[in-house]
Amino acid sequence: MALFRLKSNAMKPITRVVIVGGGTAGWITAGTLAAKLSQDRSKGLTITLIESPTIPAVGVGEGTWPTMRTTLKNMGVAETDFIRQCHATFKQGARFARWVTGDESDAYYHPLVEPAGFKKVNLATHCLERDTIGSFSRRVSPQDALCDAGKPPKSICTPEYAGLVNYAYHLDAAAFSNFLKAHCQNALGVRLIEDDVIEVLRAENGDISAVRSQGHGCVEGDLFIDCTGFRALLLGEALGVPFRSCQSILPNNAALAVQVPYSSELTPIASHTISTAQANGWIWDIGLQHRRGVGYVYSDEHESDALAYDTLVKYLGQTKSDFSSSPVRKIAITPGHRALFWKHNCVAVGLSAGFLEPLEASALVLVEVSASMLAEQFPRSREAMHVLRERFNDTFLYRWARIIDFLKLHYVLTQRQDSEYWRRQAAMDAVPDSLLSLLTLWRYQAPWHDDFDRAVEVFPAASYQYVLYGMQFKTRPDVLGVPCTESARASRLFREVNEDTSRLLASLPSHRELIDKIHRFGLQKI
Amino acid sequence: MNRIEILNAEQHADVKIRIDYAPELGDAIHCVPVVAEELPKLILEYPVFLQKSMQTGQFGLVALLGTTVGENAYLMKGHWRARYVPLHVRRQPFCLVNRDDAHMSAKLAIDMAHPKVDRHGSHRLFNADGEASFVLQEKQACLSHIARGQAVTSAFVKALLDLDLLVRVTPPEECIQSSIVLSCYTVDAEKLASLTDSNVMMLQRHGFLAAAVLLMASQGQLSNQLLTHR
Repeated sequence: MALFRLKSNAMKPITRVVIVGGGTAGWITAGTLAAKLSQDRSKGLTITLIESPTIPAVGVGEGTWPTMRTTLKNMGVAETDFIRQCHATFKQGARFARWVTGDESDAYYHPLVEPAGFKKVNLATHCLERDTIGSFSRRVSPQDALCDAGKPPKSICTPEYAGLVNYAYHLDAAAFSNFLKAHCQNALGVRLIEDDVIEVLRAENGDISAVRSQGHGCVEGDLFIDCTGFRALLLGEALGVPFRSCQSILPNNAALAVQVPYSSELTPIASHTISTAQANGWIWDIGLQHRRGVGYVYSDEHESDALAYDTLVKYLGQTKSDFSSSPVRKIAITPGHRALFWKHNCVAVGLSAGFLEPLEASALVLVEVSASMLAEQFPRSREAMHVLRERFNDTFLYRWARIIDFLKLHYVLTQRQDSEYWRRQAAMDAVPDSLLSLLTLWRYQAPWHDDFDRAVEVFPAASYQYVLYGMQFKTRPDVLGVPCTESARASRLFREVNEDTSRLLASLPSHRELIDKIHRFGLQKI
Repeated sequence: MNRIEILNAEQHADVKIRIDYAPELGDAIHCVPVVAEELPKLILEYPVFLQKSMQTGQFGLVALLGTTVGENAYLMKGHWRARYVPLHVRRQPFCLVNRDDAHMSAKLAIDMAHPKVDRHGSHRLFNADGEASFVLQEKQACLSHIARGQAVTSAFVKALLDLDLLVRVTPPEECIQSSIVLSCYTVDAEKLASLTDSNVMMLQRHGFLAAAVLLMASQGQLSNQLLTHR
């Protein structure tokens, strides 16, 4: 009989999903699940989100990765509505200033478009010989030129979510969270409970059976999603999954953030994130429609908060920004992630799973891929959860490791010697073995698809190429040279990039002009 | 550059215009805006599509005259080789100008910089008694047709978009690379066939169902007329 009971329990379908915590992580997860599982919802699956009215969202995740387009589209969001209501702008990549030598002229782009012909031809190989690798991104994509000229990645005639070149967004995190909240409730049937969770209740088998809230009593569930931010109330506090720090690899542990108004309604909007290295960290500068978001990420072991404040003020002064009416917020960062992301019947998504630093907008993309994997491989029963949990943990341990490698790549290749901070960042003993072996390989061959073996990589080989060669890494040209047919093909691709660049520069309006048009006319669905 | 002047019998008493068609008279155009009311006549000779405005991205109804920029396959030796000439072409060099007065009335205006305004032209705008000439009356009629037809045309386009009926045109072999053809949209037969009864009724009530079918039917003119005319 016991066996039968166990079995029937194991086969019990998962019908109640409870997400604890709102913010962008909570609402992206809710929206992604609700849209993907719409069939199940009509058969009784419920998605409940408990949002605390008292805990504010961290709300500085304002950079995204191109995956956000698919995420929003899958949720049934119209891009026009999103852009209008979330003060969103287009992001075509990041410009890294002073990361290599620290000189004033030192800068490279990590564009979001792949190098031309990237499915078949490795153009990096063709840039190695003539010492043209320094301008790699400019030779293989039109996006550097578009960013320099303040042009958007599409025109008013380009349909929603389509681009003439690849793009992501900059968005107002608070507005975005509210936008998704409304969409999830109105269009996707997500139930919202506005309350504080005060206790996590456990079943005999260790699962979370319910969470007790201040004013709404117990909320029972079959699957719990922890979106409670750094606190990790469910996975960390209740289920005791330990946190793994990566501070020895990525030392930044604090950020000062400020919102800066534009000097006029006509001020051009950058269509890339501007990341400027400082003595003990780097400053992000993100242009939204109505303001910029600027912040200094640093290591407080190397720079005190007071000095960091001065660094930020100095940067704002150089970019002629008036921020007298904007408060500067300090955000403490503990770089690292949980040892597991799914334990028993609880999955952590967002800051509760971990956080490294704002570099390369890796936070929101991890939320998206977590929500998407959960939706695609949703556990149909408690028994199925065992298998999917292993798979999920395995996938995300891999993804976090790759992201750590990729972020570290930005630091380890620096030639800066001007501070203890940069010397430590470049010290080989703080580089993960996985990255060390890739760097060894890349001395002899340019990064290529085979270097990454998963079907879905957060950062593809193209991203590694852009950072590697942007930072003037030297890959030795193949002693045998490049076959003639290959170089003819490469020359054609280089020429096409040039032609595309001129055509796009001539035909596209300014970034701000396009945003204004989207407000006035909207983008078409087709 | 345009030089738009509100038409006035005294001021424009001596103005003459040409009514023939030629590239140098501004007729070397590959597409013209049309109104839905023209569809029954247009589709016998022109492919009619939807196209986005470069300025606003908004869809409008157009008749395609050529598949490359500035190519007008219907133009030959001073003649427009078709039994029906689109209103937009026939109205030239006139237009309506909205006055910001209390009635928001539209005034007839002429573009004095238009090549069809020509002192060697054969047609006066006004008779000796100051009355509008036959030619001018016809121009006026074209313009009021267009003005009346615009609201219905916008409603038609909106209905097609709202019901998600549009699809990009698949260019025929002969012009597979034409960016102009590639920027055209038409009604998707499958989508139209799978509409719900109530949506079909809605389209039918406004006369949009027939118009949608005419649009689809006109596609054949792309290879039929336009490409063989060359």
